[in-house]
Amino acid sequence: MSRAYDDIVLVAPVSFGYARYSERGVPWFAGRSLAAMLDLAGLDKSAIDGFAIASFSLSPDTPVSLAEYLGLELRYLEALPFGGASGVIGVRRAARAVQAGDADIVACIGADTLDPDGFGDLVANFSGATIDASYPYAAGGPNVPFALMTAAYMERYGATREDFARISVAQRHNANHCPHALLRHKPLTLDDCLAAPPIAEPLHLFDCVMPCAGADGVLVMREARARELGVPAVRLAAAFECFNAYPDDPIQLRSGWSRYGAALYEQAGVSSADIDVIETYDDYPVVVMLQFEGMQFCGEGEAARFVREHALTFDGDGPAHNTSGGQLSVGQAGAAGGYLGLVEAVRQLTDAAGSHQVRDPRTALVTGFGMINYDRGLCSSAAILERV
Amino acid sequence: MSTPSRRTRPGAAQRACLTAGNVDMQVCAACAHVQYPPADCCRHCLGDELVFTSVDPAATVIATTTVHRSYRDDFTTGGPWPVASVRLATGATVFAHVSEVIAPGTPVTLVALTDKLREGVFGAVRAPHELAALQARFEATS
Repeated sequence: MSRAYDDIVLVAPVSFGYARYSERGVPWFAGRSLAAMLDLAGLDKSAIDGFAIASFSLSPDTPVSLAEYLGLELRYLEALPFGGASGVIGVRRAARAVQAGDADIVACIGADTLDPDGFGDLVANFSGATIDASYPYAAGGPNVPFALMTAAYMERYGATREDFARISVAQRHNANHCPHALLRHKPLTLDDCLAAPPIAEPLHLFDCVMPCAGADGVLVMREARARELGVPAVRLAAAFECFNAYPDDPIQLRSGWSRYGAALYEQAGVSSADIDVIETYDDYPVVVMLQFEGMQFCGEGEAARFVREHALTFDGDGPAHNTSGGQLSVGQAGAAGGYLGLVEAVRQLTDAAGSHQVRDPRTALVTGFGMINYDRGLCSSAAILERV
Repeated sequence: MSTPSRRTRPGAAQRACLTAGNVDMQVCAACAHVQYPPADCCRHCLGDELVFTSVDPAATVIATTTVHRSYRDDFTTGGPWPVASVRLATGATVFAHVSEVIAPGTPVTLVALTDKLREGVFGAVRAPHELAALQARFEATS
């Protein structure tokens, strides 16, 4: 594992502007979430000298034209085209920049807008491989790769549709207590999940994330600076990023968590038993199960049992999971989906989660997964955060 | 004549092989790696002489899904559309049209079909009679 992150902290967690569709562009989402982050931290915009942006819908703007638009004068600027792995990777690299003295305070934001044609356009043009070998097969977008992974997981390990549905139902309970979750007003039962219309079998409607618009972000700085500002902070205890893990696996039933999970715990000096809050990347329940397994909450192929034996709600016994409702119930705001769990973990560890606050959590695990290209996701990440 | 659907340059060449009825894939002249999806550069040795060549069409089913909602317009009617990921002995994974859900591990043969846009695509069949049925389905829903 690479060197430790010393005294780097995350502060000012913000989730902003979640809506099914929006006529606003990414600069609005990024600018208004940055304003909210500065307000929480009691900082002037001029204090920000580093910026990391993750977005699919920034075009025709670029990271630097976005920075200019927001009036930021920077000495560190990072773009993170890693989809659902972008949040952890963004704060990890920002932490390294602060450690190295390349920046003092880095604003890390994931922001995406969505119009009614936006997701279809993204799917149609996602990558060379998907243009040639997915889209002509009714297989454009993430539904089909995740359907194939789900079918293979069910076949290999005996998991059932109900096992996957338990994840969606527990998260909806959390969302029913989270003000910014787009599906907060809708209850969801196991029967609802099993009776839902098919999308790409074995996936049905409530196994699939809902694309939306929104933004999530945090500030990265040294702990001493956070103390001066008097803002609640969360320490980055460990993190990794991983690309193209296990490329020879015929079907993806593991990723970077299996490769680097043990080293991550070792770097943080904790084990899976010490984790109070788990924030996984959850566009489809099967990948949640792969994260539980890779991060050692259970063995390979045992996640269905783990899901049956744990409530996984913010107010249940055992580890709380995807406490805001996750993407399955908040919505997937493009690359902001890669920040959603990270930002929620910072809220939880600073007792800022309000009506869906976990009682006195000390340690959180955040995992990321992104860029579903043809038959697999290419990016994975994870971080351990600790209450300061 | 409708406008051809979008492909990359090597993807268009792959489509042309299939439209002509040939189960060809790129084979690297330097290392013999079979490359799919097609590309301009060999994933194994980074060579750039990739030649479309007839390949052994024997494959094994990894998993099947039945697609009810697709982003491509021509799949919004006539569905649902069963699609399988199949693995060649050489290691390439191919998404292919199939007639129904096929159990993982089942041996199949890759075949060339023409889809509703009259463009060449891969199918996978357990027996020769499935090819005609798959092709007929595209024609019935065109």
